[in-house]
Amino acid sequence: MNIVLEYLPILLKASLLTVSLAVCSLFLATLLGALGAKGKLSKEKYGREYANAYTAIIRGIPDLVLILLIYFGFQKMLNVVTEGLGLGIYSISPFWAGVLAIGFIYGAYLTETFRGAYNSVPQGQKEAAMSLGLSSYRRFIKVVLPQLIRHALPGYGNVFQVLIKSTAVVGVLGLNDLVGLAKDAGQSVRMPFTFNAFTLFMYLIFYFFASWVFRLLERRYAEKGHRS
Amino acid sequence: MKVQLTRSWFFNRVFQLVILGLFAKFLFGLKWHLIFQEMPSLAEAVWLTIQLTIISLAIGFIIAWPLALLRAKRKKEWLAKIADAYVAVFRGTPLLVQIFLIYFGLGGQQWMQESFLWPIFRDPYWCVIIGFSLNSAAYACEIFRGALMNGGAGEREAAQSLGLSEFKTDWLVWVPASWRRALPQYGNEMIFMMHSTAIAGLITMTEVFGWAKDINGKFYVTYEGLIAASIVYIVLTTTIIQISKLMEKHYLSYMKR
Repeated sequence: MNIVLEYLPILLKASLLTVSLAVCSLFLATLLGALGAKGKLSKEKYGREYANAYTAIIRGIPDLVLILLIYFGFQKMLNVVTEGLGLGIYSISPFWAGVLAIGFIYGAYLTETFRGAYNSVPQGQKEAAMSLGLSSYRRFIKVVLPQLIRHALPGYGNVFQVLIKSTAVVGVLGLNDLVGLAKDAGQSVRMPFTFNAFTLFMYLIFYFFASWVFRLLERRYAEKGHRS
Repeated sequence: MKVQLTRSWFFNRVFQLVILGLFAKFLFGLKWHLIFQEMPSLAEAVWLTIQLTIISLAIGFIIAWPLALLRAKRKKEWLAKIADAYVAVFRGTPLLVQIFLIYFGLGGQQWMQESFLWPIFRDPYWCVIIGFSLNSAAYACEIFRGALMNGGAGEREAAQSLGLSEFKTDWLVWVPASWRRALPQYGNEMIFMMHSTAIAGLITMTEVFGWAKDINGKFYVTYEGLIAASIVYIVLTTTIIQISKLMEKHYLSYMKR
């Protein structure tokens, strides 16, 4: 047990890395999800087709395979591009590669969430806003978005829970986040069980903390008058 | 995704894939002949993936129902609490860490290496099956509990009024009816389980992901193995979607009359 206490500062720092990885990739995934939902809902054929292909392909492949593919593939592609342009080699750090990979994957899941949420905003609300003469931008920001957030939050929370869990995979690829560090440390001091159990415990804390935050948010965005 | 798996759809996809493959071959110099050369080992890898998926889903299914009943009825509160904790732990933590804990953690313990369980925990195959089954059981338990809680009061009262015992009411009436309600979500769980078997590739097993990693390491390439694995996984996912549709058709056929 003493050894874990000695390692505790490093492990806590590593779990901070895991959390920031999760939050950064959630940000990217939200952007991509909004873009994908826009594509899926648009009237243009190509927008719909690209968005459909994006979600269908990403959701058909395990995250482990995709993360590895993006993690190593993107760097190699970048090298080809920068060499072709005559620039020097620009290497992306494992952290940002992980953010890119996870954000790209969960963008596909969020696309579906956002699309469903947009469709569950009643058509009458949009029409009422239109009849008040609001511009399309104000219509979206003032009328549709608040209701969209309300419908999207439960699904968004679920996707975030899955996203946190999939950050574990990045640790295997060489980033010194919680999982990678705990595995290495556990093997070097010959206490793999204790260290992996610590990782499990930390992830459980993240899980409960995230579900608490999302419960608060859901209450914040609940329909007024039905607030419990 | 709504896909009509007609023959023309299938040939269109294959055609697109071939075009993209040739494109990648001539533009980026991908070596597809390596994949064709390794086809026999790929077949074995696919079989291992299917095997792992089916065995873990089956064991998880068997464990999940009693737990779900326990959590839905809450007659014995302390047992239900234990089941709650089990589900929260297995759903709240990454499967990867769970597998590490079983394979490296339990397998590295002194007492484990001396006990009669050592032949099981020495073998990555059994470690992975234990981990996957427990994980799948937790996820399936949550799905089944939702289905059990979601209605069933009328069914149970009807069964009780016919004089069925509590055990029979639960297992012959409540559970089959809930299983039908749980089917769509259980289809998703089947897909997720199949995707999770990729984790077995990280602890030295050669299922599809492990095979891809081996190919990439063996021939020193970046994309080929992983892209081939992705295609295999997409095909498997589509197959599972079709299977779950067939299951829904089979179990819900009485509703269409």
